[in-house]
Amino acid sequence: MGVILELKSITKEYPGVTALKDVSIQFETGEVHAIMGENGAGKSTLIKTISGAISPNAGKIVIDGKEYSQMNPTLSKSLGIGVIYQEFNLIPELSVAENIFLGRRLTNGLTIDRKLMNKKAAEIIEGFGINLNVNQPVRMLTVAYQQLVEIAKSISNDVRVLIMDEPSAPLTNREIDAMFGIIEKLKQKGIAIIYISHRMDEVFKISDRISVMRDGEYIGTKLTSETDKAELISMMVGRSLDEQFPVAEKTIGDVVLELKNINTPTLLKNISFNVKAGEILGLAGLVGAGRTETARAIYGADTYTGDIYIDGEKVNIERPKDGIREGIALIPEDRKKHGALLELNIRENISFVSIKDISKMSVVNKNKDKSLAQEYIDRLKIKTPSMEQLVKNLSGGNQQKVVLAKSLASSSKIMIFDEPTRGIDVGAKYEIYVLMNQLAQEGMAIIMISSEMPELLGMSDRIIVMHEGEIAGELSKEEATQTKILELASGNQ
Amino acid sequence: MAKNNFLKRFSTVIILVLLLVIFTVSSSSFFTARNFINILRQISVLSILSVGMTFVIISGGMDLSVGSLVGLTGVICAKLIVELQVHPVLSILATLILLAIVGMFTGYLIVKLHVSAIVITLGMMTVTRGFAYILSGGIPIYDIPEDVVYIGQGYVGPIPVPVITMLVIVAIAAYLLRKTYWGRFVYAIGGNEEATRLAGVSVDRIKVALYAISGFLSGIAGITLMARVSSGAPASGTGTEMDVVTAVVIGGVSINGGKGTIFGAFVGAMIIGVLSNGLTIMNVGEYYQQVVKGTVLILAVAFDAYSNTDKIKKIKHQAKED
Repeated sequence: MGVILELKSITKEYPGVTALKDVSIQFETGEVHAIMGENGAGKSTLIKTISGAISPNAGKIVIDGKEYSQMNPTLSKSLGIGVIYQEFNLIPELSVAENIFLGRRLTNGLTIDRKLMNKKAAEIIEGFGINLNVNQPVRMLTVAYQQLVEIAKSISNDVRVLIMDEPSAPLTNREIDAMFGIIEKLKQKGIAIIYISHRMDEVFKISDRISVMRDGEYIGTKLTSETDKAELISMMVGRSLDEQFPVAEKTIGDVVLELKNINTPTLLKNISFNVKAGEILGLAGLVGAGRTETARAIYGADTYTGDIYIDGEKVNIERPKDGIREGIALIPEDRKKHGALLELNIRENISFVSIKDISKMSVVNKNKDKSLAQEYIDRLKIKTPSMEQLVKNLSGGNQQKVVLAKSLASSSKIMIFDEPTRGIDVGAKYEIYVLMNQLAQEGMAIIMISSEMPELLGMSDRIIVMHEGEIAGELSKEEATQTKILELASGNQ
Repeated sequence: MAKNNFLKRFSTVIILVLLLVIFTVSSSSFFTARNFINILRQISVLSILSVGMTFVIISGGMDLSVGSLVGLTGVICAKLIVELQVHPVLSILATLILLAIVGMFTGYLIVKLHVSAIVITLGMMTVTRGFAYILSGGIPIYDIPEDVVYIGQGYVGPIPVPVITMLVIVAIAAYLLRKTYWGRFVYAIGGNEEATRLAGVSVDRIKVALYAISGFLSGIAGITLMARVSSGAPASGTGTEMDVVTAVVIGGVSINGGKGTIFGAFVGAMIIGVLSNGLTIMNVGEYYQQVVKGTVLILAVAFDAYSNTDKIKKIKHQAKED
């Protein structure tokens, strides 16, 4: 075993955020080297640095003892670096063999030598111990086989370092086992595998060494045989598990929002529940259970039937405008598509919803606009060189804070957070939790939709579990456990 | 970096200054106050239309009907004044209101049918041109009274009336877009319509209003042109929509919406005007002028794309530096 790829003090900065801070890692031939870290830890930036999709601001990439200050996609490919991204780069209409040899022509004089191509492709696929007709178009294959074609494509390129970004995400358990078999074979050939994942069990099963990243920094590398889950988690999170969520004394008051028999044409069936002042209500469920749809109905983003009461009075909410008027704020799941106005700057985003309050005869009061922005930049600790920075240049966590500021500035009393910490770094997560508690303490009613169990259990005062458009059950903070939530969410009570 | 930003921000102004220098050096009759006023008068109709187009394009839309609306305006207004003997002021007001309603109708179709603005306005372009021919019987309507002709040919001091109309409209529009929350909504819609709607903005209403404004300004441009040539011709304004889009895009307004300024579009119109005027003075034929204008459009857009450096370009840059 020898070092094939080494990163030396790699640093990558974007405006207002450092994605990688002085990261140094060594990768050896014939090892499966897992890289773990929370969302926003810098894993994908690291991959992109190695593959040449981005250039680091400082540091060196060493391959076979040769130093490079940066890669580009062609160079990294020619040095034997292959990446299997979560989104495959396959052409659905072309055959397996054609995809494997895409961009390289096996010619026979002028024409493509199909026979040779098919033969070589079949050899590679057989090398995995798998039977697959290399003549069929890729679109006919399942996701697992498509991934296989991606791997075969790298192999045919004489790959020596294979980077796999969350390869198990789209696969079933059995397919994952098959993939592990292939990884073992590649390992025996001396290929270094860089395996990005945040699934603990998998990482322990397949990897030889594990490196942990957090907030763009390299935390450390452990031999898989010499570490355990608890150690890795504390490395990833930077604090032990029970310190992940801030504790807050809350007084829960009267019912603020009440839903009665909310139905939508396609999904929701008789959704009824309430939220009280000062309460954080967790909404749990699997993808497609109707949590986001419920949130959007309350806010007026989609059509629904049923009644909504606020402070005991029936309200009429047909459009987001109505929802906002009634004091409801929605922090959407897809921040970039539905939340932040990426092309506008921070100042314009923060005052966007409440802009009529700081305008006279439609003309925006410049000073009020600026002081409002400054107030929320300070209050939410938004990290930015200036309030004129375009929101698209901010990190995920700071974008989320801007979206939050936009809603807070419009004096809401009911806040719906849809996956509030998705894709943001650990530090910012904690800050958002603290903020949610603060808002609850100030008497706001909060609904939090989340797919992260620890978050649901750590933050909610009460949890409602949804299943296929219906409410499957309600759990108090005391009775809620991961198992109970999962049982309700999957429909077996 | 700072230098790069400067180039990016004022790229259109730089192109304009460059053109001015080139023409001044090449011809002695170019750099005179009289010729500048002349240029401004020549671009007045184009600029007025560019203002409406800028609003629409920033919001992520497109209005191809403006050229036909110019023709329709001339015909309707001339018909009211000359054939139906309606008082000129009343005729002009009625025409403008009607054009705003036509624009509103276009906007309404776009919003309700969820069809792309290009297709709807392409349809409206043909329909309204058709109406212009039907109403006029295909023949220009002459004998526009002196008072009305003043709108297109008159002067206030040394300044032609169309130039004043243009400057007033440009100033009001720039103020609306920059200083009011309404302007901010227009940019937001062009950047991300759904997020804007979720932020409580009545997106549909604003979009309809934008096409109404574009229709209304087409009306003003149409009346100015009618007065300028002393007749309401059904064919006038044919193909103008493309000149307008060209001016707006040269002026740095993003064809994808969300970005651009009224000032930029005005500079874009100036570039077109200076080009036409300068090339004509230099005795360059009409056919060659078209080639030059098209080339400038492509260069301006290419320059803009280049200065909007994204990741790939950055890599290339750094590779060169290493």
